[in-house]
Amino acid sequence: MPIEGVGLGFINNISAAFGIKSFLLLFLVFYSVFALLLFRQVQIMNQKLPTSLSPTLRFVGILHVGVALAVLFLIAGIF
Amino acid sequence: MPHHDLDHQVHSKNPLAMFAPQPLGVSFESQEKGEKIILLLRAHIVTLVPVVLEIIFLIFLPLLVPWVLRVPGINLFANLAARQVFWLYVSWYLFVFGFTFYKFIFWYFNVYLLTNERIVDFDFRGILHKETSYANLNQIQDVSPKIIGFFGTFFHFGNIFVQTAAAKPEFEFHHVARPDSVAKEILEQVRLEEGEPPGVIA
Repeated sequence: MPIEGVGLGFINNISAAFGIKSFLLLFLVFYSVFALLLFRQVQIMNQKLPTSLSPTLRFVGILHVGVALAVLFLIAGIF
Repeated sequence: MPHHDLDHQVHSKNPLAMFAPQPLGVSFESQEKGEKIILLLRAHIVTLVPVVLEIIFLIFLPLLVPWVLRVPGINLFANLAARQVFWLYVSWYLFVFGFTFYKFIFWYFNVYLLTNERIVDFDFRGILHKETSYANLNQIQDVSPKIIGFFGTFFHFGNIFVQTAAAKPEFEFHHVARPDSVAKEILEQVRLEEGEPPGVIA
């Protein structure tokens, strides 16, 4: 097969939407890990230093992880 | 008593206080029976102003970028459907929320405690780095408050350097409110501790 035939023409077929979707998915995978780490930190610090705000912080931490994962799966499915 | 000295009758109920005398509803992991928190300190609220400005900038950035790019005639979202633009915005504001939450946690858990037995420094330096240091009051050798700079002088906050004979030789309380009152209170607690028989928690 001539080398021009292999070419880089396929790049033209990659739409902007596909590029953005790939970037967002990669970003959201790392972001979900970050959200999980943040939640673990909140849990550990709540054990070390319990305050009246601890339940609220724990709830926000869980919600943050949940929303990050939900957005990841929604973008994977319907973007 | 000068007005800026610590009032031992006051109990702080505010969970977000930067200067909380005898805070209610707060305890810590290795707190001993009879050990009371005299003072809970966080960085002065003014030190959060740059972070708040960063967050405001991040909130308005998605509105700003397409507007700026329209000047040279670039339409950023020309090839994207409205649904896709929506998810881009959702991802961005999720990131802004995560950044805000992280910064808040960073401020909220960077806590300095003065108890009737020791000083405790909860250092939350990053997502993967936290450190807790303790020094008994009878190990404290020197306490020096420092107020430096325009904002420190104007809003009355600064650093306190505590020299100790503990495993960590120097404790630094960064950007805490009323550093002179705090230093005075630490020395007062050291004096009371020295008057107690060894091993007594009171």
